[in-house]
Amino acid sequence: MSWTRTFLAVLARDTAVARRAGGGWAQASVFFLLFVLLAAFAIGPETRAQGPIAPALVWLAAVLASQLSLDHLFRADLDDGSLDILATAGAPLSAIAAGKATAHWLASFAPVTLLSPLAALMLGAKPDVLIPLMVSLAIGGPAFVFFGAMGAALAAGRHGGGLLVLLLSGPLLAPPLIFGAGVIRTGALDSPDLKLLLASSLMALVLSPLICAAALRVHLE
Amino acid sequence: MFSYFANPERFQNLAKWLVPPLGVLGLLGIAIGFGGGLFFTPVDYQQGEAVRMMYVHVPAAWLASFAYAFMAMASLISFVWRHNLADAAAKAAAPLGASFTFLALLTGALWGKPMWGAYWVWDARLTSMLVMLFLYLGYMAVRNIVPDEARAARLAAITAMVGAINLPIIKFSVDWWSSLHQPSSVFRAGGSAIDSTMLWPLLIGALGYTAFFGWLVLVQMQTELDRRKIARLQRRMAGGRVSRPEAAQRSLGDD
Amino acid sequence: MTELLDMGKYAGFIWASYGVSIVVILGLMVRILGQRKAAKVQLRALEDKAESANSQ
Repeated sequence: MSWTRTFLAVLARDTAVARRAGGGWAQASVFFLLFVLLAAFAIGPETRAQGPIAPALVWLAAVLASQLSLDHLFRADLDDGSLDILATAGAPLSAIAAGKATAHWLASFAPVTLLSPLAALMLGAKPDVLIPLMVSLAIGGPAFVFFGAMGAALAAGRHGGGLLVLLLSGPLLAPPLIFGAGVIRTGALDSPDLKLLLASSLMALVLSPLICAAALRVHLE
Repeated sequence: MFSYFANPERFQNLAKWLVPPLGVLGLLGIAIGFGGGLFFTPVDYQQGEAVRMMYVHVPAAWLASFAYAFMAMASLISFVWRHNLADAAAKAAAPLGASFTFLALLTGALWGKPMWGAYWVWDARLTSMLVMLFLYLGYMAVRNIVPDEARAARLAAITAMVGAINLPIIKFSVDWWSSLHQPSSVFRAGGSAIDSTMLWPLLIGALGYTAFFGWLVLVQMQTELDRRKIARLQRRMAGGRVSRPEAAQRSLGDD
Repeated sequence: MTELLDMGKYAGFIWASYGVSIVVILGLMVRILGQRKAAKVQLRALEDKAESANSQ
């Protein structure tokens, strides 16, 4: 099977599964909105006090929502042997990993990006940060999902758990979060932070499928 | 060269020679560095006696980074060439590196309190050190959680390499991040020019720490080889007799 | 000697940082050398056992 065909087939299947399962699409969005609600409780009812940190909180909520349930990304396919079958059929593992990560991005980060202006406004953000917020989330999303997928692939074995995924991908999420929050802080779309964020995403898009493939091969050995 | 030392016999012979001098060098270097730092160095005109904490902080910070580089290199060798001893080296380096990262953070905090007025500031160096501690913990978690030794070794090697690729980026991003926040008046440890009367315990201390690290890595590798021998013997005694050539084959690698 | 040991107002921080460094260094050493010794002892016991089993 060619790379592109494998990628598209996995993407289509995982998206269908997520839609059929129902929870898949909603889970990240609900987590995201709940985080915002709880953050508001933690800070207090004064919206003016929340204003300056609102975009940063939204960023944090989006990042955490994208890591949610990430540890299941490869485990089900590994356990029921479907990954083994695909691999023996000659499907490139990197295409499988890229397809699954993209499906996860569609199910988690994309809806959260669309919801982000609403959340930011609820937290008292100024309207002029809404565009930079959405753009930076859209550009930075792949970095979080694909770096997270790396941790998920490494921890995909029967004994890996959520803890392992967190420990493995957590440190890698620091740079894109720094750049993403930087875009918000400067509030400008031509800031170098946005370029660095884009660079992080591109690097994750290239590196992650390769690393995931190496890790999955170890699990299949 | 890697394959030369892939032979456990050759490694054992080399280690037998290297272990005692490294141990002596390490402990002596640490003792001299500490003693010199405590008693035989001048007081800094700006920091006063507090400068003495530099002599425990800087070598720990150096070793923390060095150990990570070492672990990543060993992981690369073990992953690409399926080199068992390199894997043992990486495995041995991780807890040492994590311990010294922890020490660097702790002594940094103790030094920071009198100098910055706070135990913890989100200084670029402290922050990237903290991220590195998490990288070490991730590596050790893989080794602890994955039960199958061979699989754990390969996954851990990937983890270490990914961390090594990301460390410079993390370092850069944290510098970037803290330059936005930090008041420029923050005191910078050491600065560019350290007087030679203050430099010698620092260098000897760093050398001692490094030798100490090398010593304990080698000792752990020896332990690992012994453990493998034990496992082999136990397997043999448990029943299935292993023929001689097969046993010899095994001792050379792949189990 | 008391003059040497007097570290002024930072004494607590200085002794704490040296103390914790020494504790960690010694702790690592004791642990790792202990593991080495335990492995050696176990290996020797097993080898003796294997030898006596072979010679029978």
